[in-house]
Amino acid sequence: MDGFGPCAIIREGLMRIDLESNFVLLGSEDLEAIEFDRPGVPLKELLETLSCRSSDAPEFLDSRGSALNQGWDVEVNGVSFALCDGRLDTVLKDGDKVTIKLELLGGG
Amino acid sequence: MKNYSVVGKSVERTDARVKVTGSARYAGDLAAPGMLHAKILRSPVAHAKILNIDAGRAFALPGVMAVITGKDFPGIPFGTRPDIRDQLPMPITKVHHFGEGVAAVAALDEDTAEEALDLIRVDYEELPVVLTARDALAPGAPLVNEFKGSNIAYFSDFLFGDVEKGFKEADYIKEESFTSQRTSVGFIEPHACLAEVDPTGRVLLQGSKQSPYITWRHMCRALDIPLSKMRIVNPFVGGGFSGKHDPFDVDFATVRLAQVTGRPVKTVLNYDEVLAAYRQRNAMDVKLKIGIKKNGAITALRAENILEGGPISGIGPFNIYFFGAFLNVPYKIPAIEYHGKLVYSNRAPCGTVRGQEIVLAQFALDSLLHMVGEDMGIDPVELRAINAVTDSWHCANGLIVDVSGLSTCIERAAEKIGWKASRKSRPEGRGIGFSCASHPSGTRLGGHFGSSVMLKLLEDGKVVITHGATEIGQGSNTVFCQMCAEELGLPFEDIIQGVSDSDTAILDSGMFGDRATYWDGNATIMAARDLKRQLAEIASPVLKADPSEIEFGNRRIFVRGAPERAMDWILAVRKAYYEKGSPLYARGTWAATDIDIVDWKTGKGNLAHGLDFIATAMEIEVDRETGQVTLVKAVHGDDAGQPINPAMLEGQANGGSAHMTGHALYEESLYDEKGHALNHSWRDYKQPTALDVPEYSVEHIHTHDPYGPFGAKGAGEASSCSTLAAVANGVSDAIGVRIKDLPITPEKILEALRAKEGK
Repeated sequence: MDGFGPCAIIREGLMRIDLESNFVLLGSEDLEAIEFDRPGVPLKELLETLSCRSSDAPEFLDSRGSALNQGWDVEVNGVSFALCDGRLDTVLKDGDKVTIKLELLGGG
Repeated sequence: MKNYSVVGKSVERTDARVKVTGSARYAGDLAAPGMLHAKILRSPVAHAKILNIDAGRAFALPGVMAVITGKDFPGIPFGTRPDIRDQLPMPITKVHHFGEGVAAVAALDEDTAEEALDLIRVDYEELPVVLTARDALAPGAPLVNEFKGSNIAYFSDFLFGDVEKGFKEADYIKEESFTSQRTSVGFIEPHACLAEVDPTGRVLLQGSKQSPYITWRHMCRALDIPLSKMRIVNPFVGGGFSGKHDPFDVDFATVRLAQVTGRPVKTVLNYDEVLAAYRQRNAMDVKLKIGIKKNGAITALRAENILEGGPISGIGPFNIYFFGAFLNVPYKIPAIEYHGKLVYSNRAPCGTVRGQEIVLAQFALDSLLHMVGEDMGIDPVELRAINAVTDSWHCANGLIVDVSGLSTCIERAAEKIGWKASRKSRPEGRGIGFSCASHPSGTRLGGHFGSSVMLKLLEDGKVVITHGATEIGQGSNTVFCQMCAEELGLPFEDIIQGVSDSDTAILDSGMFGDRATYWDGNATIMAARDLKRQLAEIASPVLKADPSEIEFGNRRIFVRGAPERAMDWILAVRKAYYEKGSPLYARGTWAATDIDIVDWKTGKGNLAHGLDFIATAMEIEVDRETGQVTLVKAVHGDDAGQPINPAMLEGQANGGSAHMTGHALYEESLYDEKGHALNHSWRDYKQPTALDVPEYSVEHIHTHDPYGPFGAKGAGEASSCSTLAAVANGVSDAIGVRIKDLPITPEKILEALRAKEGK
């Protein structure tokens, strides 16, 4: 990752990704967009970054970082990540919208 | 209103005879060759580090086949939300509440397993306990859950409409606080299961589970096995009421012991264990502020709600969500501000109980509304009628009320209880409490959410129905058989209920929220139509008609408009089997794809169809000398759309209410200052019996839900939601004192009376 850990966010970045979710994205606060200091960030890195910034540190990815964990639904520009060519390695572009939805497994 | 042959009739329940004769097989009745018996060792303290567990002496006891602890599981946490996975099958580093399972033993017989528990030595280092919401939120409070760096498990902040404007427009504003206690769930059958593991490692779990899908998914995750490696079959279930959705230590331990020993293992808890250590309802502290116009119309509502939920989040986030989102019904409230918080504690884990936390929200809202009516001199019944939601009402959060019979429910309940006459005169110490409520027919939580039904046409013309819902005593099997018979034009007795088995049925996402009748009912209709389509293909050449002209009724298949061109149902069945060699299966699926997935962030959206409504009026007598409350009689005006089985619907409306009378008056799970459960036996934890509940009657308000099966809505939870406030308002009406802190015990009544009289 060229020396950039997933938590390294440059606020005035080169690439802005709009974010949409059905939950408070960072646990204790919401986030509508995120900026990176370089283009070509893969979806997987975005998810790892969000996990690091969240107070709940949600595990979007499995322990190998190769698959989306159960309970999450992720789309890029309205298309399921699973239908994108790169899947979790899909390279995001400036202005892309990533939607993350959580699925509840329980009942009342 | 359409006349039906089977729907709308109070046919006998499919399970009535086996249950009343004691021949129904529940999980505790199951047995398998070579079966072992398991027992669970429970923590005697509420909060402590586990320093060491020494099971050597237990292992050495003859007859003991295995001992397991939390370390025998993969250590993978699970939870209802993927971002708050905060529980393990059994604890590894610390215990979180009194009675938490820390080890389990499998032995040749129950006595040996029990004896072995005494030989396990657990070294604890006690930690300070967190018992209340105030404890949890205090600066420097000890952390309860090791997966979360805060005692705030979850929070929500919702804003629907312009609240500031709403309060500015109000002629009268009132703010009050209400509290509610911890209560147990109240099903009859304790947790029990039988686990077997086949030579390929595939697990068969037969347990007393309300939502086997939820159990299945969570267990496979935490056991680190694929879903295909577990089959889950539900025997008869002795009640659920939201207390049997999740897998518990009993389920995990039983499966793990079966894996370790290679033998079937059964665990049956006793009820002391259930009352001490398993699901309870959240304790609540809520502050409500309401704005009202002179004409009685509500202009705005503000709610600050804290739920104390034990050491795991569980379904708590949904409780927080539900409380806030469903403040939008049953009254027209143009603007709502809601702040909800779920906090951890070292009491037993909470799930929820029948009616979810709408029960608590409605207790507070309808109590406050009654108080406002008294303050403003507006008749409380009239006040509710003024604000009742109506057909096609768009709530402030986007929820759309398709059909509402609430105004009629209010009118009929008031009339039947004699409300107007009671305003002129009533006996000393007697009063009438009134309250309304609404409950959705299932929401969409994300992920798997559809319902499915399979029909198998037998060679003798009977039809076996298999569905993904769970019969937990509510009568779903019976109503699906009724719907299937109605759609196929067969008598009720021609439909046979199949087994709930994950190998043969697609299990529903869960059995909760009044969803079964609505969702699986629609899937039943779809399956029956599929079967009719297939039979029409067979019958139409014989009847010289197009398949689209074929109709079904009275075990006959005939041409529309020409009933003389007909054949017997059984003849078409035989043609399928004997001429075409094509035994018939049919399937139906249904999901409300047009409703919005729960938006946890905003609480907004059109969250559900099939909002059922209820108005409950309860006549109450209070003895001023003893503070004793007697529930004399109650009337529900109930809009559940088209009743499928009126007798069972009455049972649901009355049962949901009776269940909550205990919550209103005396039920409470008590703890000492160290977090020990104090009343975890039926000797000390009182629930209502037939002697305690009022004489009930139900006024069915027939509406037709446009999305519901035959126009039906869900039922069974709305009356739970209306009952607490009906009791509180009735006590106030009887003796002029308002108790805002549940349960309304004689002690609290006498204290309030003394305060009122200045003593």
